[in-house]
Amino acid sequence: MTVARRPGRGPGWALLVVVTVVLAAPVAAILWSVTDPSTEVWRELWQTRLPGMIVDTVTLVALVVTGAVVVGTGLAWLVTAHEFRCRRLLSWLLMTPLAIPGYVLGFVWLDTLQGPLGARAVRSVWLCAAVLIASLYPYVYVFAWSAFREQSPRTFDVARTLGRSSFMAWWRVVVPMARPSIAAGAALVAMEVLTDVGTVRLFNVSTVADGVLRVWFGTGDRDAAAELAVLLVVAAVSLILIERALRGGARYTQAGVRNVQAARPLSGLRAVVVNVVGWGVLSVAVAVPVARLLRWALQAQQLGNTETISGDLGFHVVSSLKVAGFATIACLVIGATMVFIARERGRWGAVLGRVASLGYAVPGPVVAIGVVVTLAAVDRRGWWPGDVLLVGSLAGLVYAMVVRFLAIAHQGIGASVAKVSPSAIAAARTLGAGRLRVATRVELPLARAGVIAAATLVAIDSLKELPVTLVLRPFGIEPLPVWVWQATSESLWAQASVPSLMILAIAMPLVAILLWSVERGAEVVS
Amino acid sequence: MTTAVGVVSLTRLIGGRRVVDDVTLEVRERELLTLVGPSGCGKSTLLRLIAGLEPPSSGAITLGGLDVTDVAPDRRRIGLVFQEHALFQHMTVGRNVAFGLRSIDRRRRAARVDEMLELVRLPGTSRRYPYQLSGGEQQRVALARALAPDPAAVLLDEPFANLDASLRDELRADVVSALRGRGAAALLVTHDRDEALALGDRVAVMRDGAIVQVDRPEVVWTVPTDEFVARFLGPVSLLPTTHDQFDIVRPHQFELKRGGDDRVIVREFRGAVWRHTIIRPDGTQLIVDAEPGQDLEVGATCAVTVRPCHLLARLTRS
Repeated sequence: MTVARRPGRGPGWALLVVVTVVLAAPVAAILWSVTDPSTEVWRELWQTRLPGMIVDTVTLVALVVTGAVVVGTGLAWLVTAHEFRCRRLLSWLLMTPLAIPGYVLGFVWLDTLQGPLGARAVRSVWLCAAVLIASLYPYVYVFAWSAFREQSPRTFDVARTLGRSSFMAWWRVVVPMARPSIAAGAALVAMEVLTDVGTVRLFNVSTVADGVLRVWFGTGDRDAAAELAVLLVVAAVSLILIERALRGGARYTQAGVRNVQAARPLSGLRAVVVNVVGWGVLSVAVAVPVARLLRWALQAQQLGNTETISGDLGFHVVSSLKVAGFATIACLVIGATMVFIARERGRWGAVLGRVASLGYAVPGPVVAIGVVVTLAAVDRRGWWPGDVLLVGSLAGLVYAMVVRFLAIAHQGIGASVAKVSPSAIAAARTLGAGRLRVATRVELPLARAGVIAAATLVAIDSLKELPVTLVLRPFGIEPLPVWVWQATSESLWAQASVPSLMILAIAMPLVAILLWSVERGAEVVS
Repeated sequence: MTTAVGVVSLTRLIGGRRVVDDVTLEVRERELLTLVGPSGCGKSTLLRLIAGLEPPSSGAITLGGLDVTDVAPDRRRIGLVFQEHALFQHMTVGRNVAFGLRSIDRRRRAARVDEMLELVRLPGTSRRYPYQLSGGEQQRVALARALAPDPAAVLLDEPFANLDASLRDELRADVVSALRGRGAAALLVTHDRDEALALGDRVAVMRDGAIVQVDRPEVVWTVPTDEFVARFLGPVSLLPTTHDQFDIVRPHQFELKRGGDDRVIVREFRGAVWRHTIIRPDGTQLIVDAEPGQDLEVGATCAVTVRPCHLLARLTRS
């Protein structure tokens, strides 16, 4: 129910503007740095590493997106259109790689393949792409999966009777109609590749994101890092434009009931092949890595070699939980508030919502540097009493996480609230409930599956997030990804195994909750 | 007349339940057969079996005299139209209609598409997208798409169920004339008895997976084989004759006179007639139509008799 109202100047409107300005500031700060480019830095970069970085980045994005689309779409088709033993179990398990960060998968396979391939050959863009495909295909899979499930099986049936074989009917009709969803998943994968710094560093692939962090930590030249980051923003924005173009003008909503694709029973050789493919992907992406991590952890335990970088294991876990927890709560509260305020302000409300969500389209290293630049500027003003500094505080880190991940909460809550029946809201209003009461007592509870899905996605992402944590981690807080990063950069795989397992232990239940809510009709959105 | 679609002793078991139970049925050349029954009686499953979208548990299906029981749906030459038109939303109307025309060269294909759109009274829409059309127009496109490859038979599954009443009548007439225009044999599934009676050259009534009666509409209406068919097809009164037999009488077959032992308890205006519900002294209720002017008010006493020379079905109580 969108009631067109005059874009008033009430407190809600002011709040919306303030939140938007605060959240868009870091990205704006990065873009601002281009207005005063230091030509020397650019010339030097251009003559040395930059062309290689661009080539590596483009190659890696192309490889990973292609691979993830093929793997994700193919697996989604296998489990939605066929019936075989363990199909349900497999279709759920195939989403679990969401819980495993690429940099964890990366160092496990790096070590596993180092033996047979040799230390040099293993560090290639191809293997790096393979690892990223194994960890990122679930983004395409989950989108394609829900798109296939929402398609009416009638469409497929009609194509069959019009003379197409089972595969051709899928290829010509089912896939094209799921194209917007697949494109959305592919765009997410591309974003994740652009933002990745952990995996590429392991395989010596020097992408632009990696370059930004190298300049930041290596030379300490903040302006140069910020300017390099603009390249990433340009890449991300062009990706979004490509995805929009792929969606095209056609609306693919289908009339009729939501209908689960009529599954075709498989038996004999076909059933074997499907199972081998499905469980094979799972063992590469989950089973083998987890087994290796467990073995390392046990060995370290037996050797009494379990020292952490600072304090004990519990300290790191609590650090991670704090960051992810605060970030999730903040994203939910701000996201929900923006949804409810913005929709009563028509077009301008929608525009502000999009501006505040910019951070999601911007790779992690860029957000991190933008946040430091912004907070440092605030700190210089000395608005706070005493020596409190925002840079290097927990609040600063959570702020960066919100800038980066608000879009997930905002879009997720927005999409599920939009599905709430207008008559339920009308009924509540006529029963005397005010707007706030309707929002909290009727709309959010009815949209609960979507809200939970959004919350778990934010929690998983902020738990795994490496570049932002690396740049902004405050003193006295050492989240798990930082521990993994420090151990792997010294090739101490066994040491990295314990924090990696802890990340999995926290993220796996979250993935289970996410699956549960998607089953319950939560909207997966991009 | 030759058989376009033949179904012989067809059975479909799903989880031990006989969803389609030993059905034998034929659709003749150029015939429109309507298949009617309550929801869940297996009529849509029967359609899917004929189209080859589900395998039968036993029995055989023929198309144009050839056994196609084990033939894949893409080789059967069946046209299919669904309630939720199932258009390919990512293709233009023209490409939707051309989807089944692969073996024809491009120029003739375009001509055929135009011809088909003309047939369903949507000329010049081939470049539009389905979402730019209304529900009724989309259903016309779905029919054009099904008819384009010149199928051996067209199967329609509740094609008018999603449409407004006013739109429905017009579309019905157009669909029937398009089917007749192509001389296509068609099987139309519906749960709407008026639709089944109005459109079908013959009507097949289905119940619990089995075909109960197949005949011309006026025959199934006036001479139903059992009480279920009689009641399913419309308002009916059962007049006991002997202790185990009764006559089936439709409301228009009665004559209503003022004065007598019967009494009017409900009266409804139905346009051409007034429909009365009448209670007899023994407690049986009758449904009786009377033309305006012949109608009686609620509470009036009356005498109900069956008009002479009306064909009655006499059934044995089961």
